[in-house]
Amino acid sequence: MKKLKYIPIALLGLLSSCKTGDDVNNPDKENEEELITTVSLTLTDTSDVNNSVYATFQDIDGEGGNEPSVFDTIRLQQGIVYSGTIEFLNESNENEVEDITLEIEEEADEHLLCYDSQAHVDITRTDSDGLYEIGLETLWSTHNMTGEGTVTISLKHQPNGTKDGTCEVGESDVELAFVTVVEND
Amino acid sequence: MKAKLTLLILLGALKFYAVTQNCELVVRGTLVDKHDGETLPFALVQLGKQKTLSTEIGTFRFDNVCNGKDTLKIFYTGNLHHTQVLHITSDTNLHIYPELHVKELETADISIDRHEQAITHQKITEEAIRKHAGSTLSKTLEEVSGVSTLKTGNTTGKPVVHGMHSNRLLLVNNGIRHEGQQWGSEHAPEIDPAIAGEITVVKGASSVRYGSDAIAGAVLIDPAPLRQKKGVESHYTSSFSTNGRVFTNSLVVDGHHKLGIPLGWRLQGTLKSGGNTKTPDYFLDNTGVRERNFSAAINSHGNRVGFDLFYSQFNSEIGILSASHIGNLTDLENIIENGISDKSAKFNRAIKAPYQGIEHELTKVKTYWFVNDSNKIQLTYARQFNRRREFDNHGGTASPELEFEITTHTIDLKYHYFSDHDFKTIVGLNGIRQLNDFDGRFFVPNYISNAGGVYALQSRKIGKWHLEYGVRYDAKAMKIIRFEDTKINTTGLSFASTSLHLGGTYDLNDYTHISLNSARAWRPPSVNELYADGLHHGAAAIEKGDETIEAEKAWNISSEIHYQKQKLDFELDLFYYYFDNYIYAAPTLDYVLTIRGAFPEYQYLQNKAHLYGFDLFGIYKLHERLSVKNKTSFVFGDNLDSNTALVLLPAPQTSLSINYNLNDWKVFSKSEIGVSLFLQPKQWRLAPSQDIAPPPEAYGLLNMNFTTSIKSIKISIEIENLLNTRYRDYLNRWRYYADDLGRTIHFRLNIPIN
Repeated sequence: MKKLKYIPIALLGLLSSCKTGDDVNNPDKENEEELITTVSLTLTDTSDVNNSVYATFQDIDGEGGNEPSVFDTIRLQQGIVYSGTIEFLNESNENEVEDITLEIEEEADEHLLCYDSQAHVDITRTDSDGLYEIGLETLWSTHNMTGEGTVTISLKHQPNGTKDGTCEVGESDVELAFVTVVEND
Repeated sequence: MKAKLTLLILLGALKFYAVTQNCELVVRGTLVDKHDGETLPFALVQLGKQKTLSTEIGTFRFDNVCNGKDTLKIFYTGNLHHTQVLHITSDTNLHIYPELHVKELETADISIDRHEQAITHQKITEEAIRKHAGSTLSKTLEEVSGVSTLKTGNTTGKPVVHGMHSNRLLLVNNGIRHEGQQWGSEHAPEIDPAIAGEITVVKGASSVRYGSDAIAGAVLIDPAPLRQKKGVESHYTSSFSTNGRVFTNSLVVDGHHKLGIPLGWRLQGTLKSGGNTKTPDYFLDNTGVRERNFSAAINSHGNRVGFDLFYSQFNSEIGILSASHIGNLTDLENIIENGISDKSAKFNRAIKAPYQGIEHELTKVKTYWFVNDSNKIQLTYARQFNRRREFDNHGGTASPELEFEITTHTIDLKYHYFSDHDFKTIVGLNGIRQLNDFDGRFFVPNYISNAGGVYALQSRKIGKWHLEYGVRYDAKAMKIIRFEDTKINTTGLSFASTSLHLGGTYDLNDYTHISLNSARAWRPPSVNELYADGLHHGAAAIEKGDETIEAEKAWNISSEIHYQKQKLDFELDLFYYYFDNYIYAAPTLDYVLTIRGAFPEYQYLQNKAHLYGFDLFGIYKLHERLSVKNKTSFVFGDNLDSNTALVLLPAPQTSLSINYNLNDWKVFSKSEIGVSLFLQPKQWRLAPSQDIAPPPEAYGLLNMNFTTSIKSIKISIEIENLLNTRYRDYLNRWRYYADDLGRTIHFRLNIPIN
């Protein structure tokens, strides 16, 4: 019982073990983890490698804040099969551009790209994680028709074994509706 | 020589006077602790102008007492615990049972008796708090009629009083304004309910008393008083909830020793661990919770001076329902339309991303000095540190996507004056310095703020009226530090305003009291209302602050009728609030284009608004053993400029319960069984454009509880949602994604260890 006398003293000792705090740093320029600022699409004519189409979306400061600086229209020619690749970048820090595409490849079993075409083009995924498609590589076949529509590209994050090959599960990390025009040469 | 002579003459005169008055009576007595029957040593006993200390065995004696009427007061550890008027005609021997468990005067503010305090307030006793062991603070507060909970799932809840929460409802933990990231509706108060010995819900604008933000009132969380007598005692509280298989264990050790000065101390700790919770049909993935909390307190009360030291830490990790972490509007619309897609989740204790990690630390030093019997000065300093880390699906557990650190220093100087004639005054000064620092995705900026307040409050009794009035002036200056374009930008902001209070209670008779209150309260805009700029995950909305937003000012009138006689205890609280410039977020009907798609934009605006309603509470004893209880509350609110209903107000609610006290049986005593029915209609007042999904349908829940005691061990079993009803609650943000919890059985045990 006598030892209990020292409890109050021990308590005083406890009081001096604080967490930290008490500082306000100057905020860094945004450095969101895994932020995707840029999506670049490259479509190459399968019958003429010198005929390529590029389309980019870029919003350096992420959601909110300043508006996206680049949002291209995809301009395709009718009756052509293009092979497509897509790239995701984090350019929020200009000194340290991060290639998010590599991470998607690494975690291919947790990611799926969905292409919803409301334009004169049919899009199919040509790559696979071994079980399901990924969608970093695609084929775009334009119809023999001209006109304007949209192609919505979404990147789905489907972790913890939820990937089942469909676009219905998971969280959308990217969803961009590119205006897509199919033209006559 | 001359002086001595004068003294002798005076003494002679006194002697003569004494004889005619009979001032040779003896008043003796024994002080006994009402709760454990032990005698009370070293208490200050005052009879008229004479004072003495009680002996080691709790006795006291006054010689030379005059016949007539005199007041006997017992002070223990600096606080008045007992007052009694004695009519002394002969030598007297008394047995006195002072109520030692009354809160210290300084925390009880201006008065102890509820009917001396005009403003509506309801207390939750220690016993009731223990009945909710293992639940969130907010759930415990629902014990009070009219308090509901704004939830983000079942582990994150904020109390709502009179339809208001967050920056309109002040939390006062252990006498200190609780300061965290309370602007966020999904940021629950970082307070371990196991600390509380008593919780008081003050309803109605009370900025004068507690400072800005107390527009809807204040919730006061006070620990039980520390032990005042030698010895050590402990209490162990354990609870298990079937839904989520939540274990909560809490231990409190109290002691009192003399180390030169009398020292009371307490060590308290809580561990909590829960896993995935379950709706009637499926498990909710990643809805576990962990808590590790502890606190330590020491105090010493002399007859004139005393001090208090308090330190506490709250540490928790809260899993965020996987389904609620949606990427964009399409995802949200998908889940609203089709419900949760993955219903295959199993029970699991692991907390994975996305989750929140929250830490809160409070250090408090308080000291007071009774200058004399009617003047007291008190100085309190506290430091709070709050760290909130939000881990996203992607970053994993290595680094948070978003981290806020806020440090708050508060200093409070109070002067009390209380006379014997029901006249009390408090004058005070407050200072607050706050530093906010964030890392990661921008949502609100860094800032440093300094605020100060000065106030005066008085209460007095005039006939059958207890009047209370006060005035307060507060000012706040903020320095906002932001990264804009390519450079650091600093902006200065300042806010100042006056708070007023005038109220009174009229004793219609011994069992009917009517109070009337009027008050003006205000709050400076919170940092998100000024500067938010970013995506609110979960709400799938871009929130935009407006730096031209002004301080919000409210006028409040309220009235309370309390009737308590024999079989009936009835209380009705009517309230009305008017805002010149109510701050809220409204959809602009614009969409903001982002890489995740287009999001609806919400902009913070200010408008004229009002809120009104009532809270009702009644208990009727049908029979010695059988009682019925009703709690009903209504709150309505409108934006008076656009004539639309305010969002996020609770729908009307009522609960009816029946309690039956059972006979003692074998070792079981104080047994009670109860059934309650909770009913809530749909929140019907909103227009479809005000929310992304319509408010959920009406629902009813049946609950049961059983409590009993074996000697001093208390046991309770509570069943919530007995019928496993499928329902969604409007004030639960997860209503978009999933049903609310199915049947939950709580087992609770409270064991005193001596």
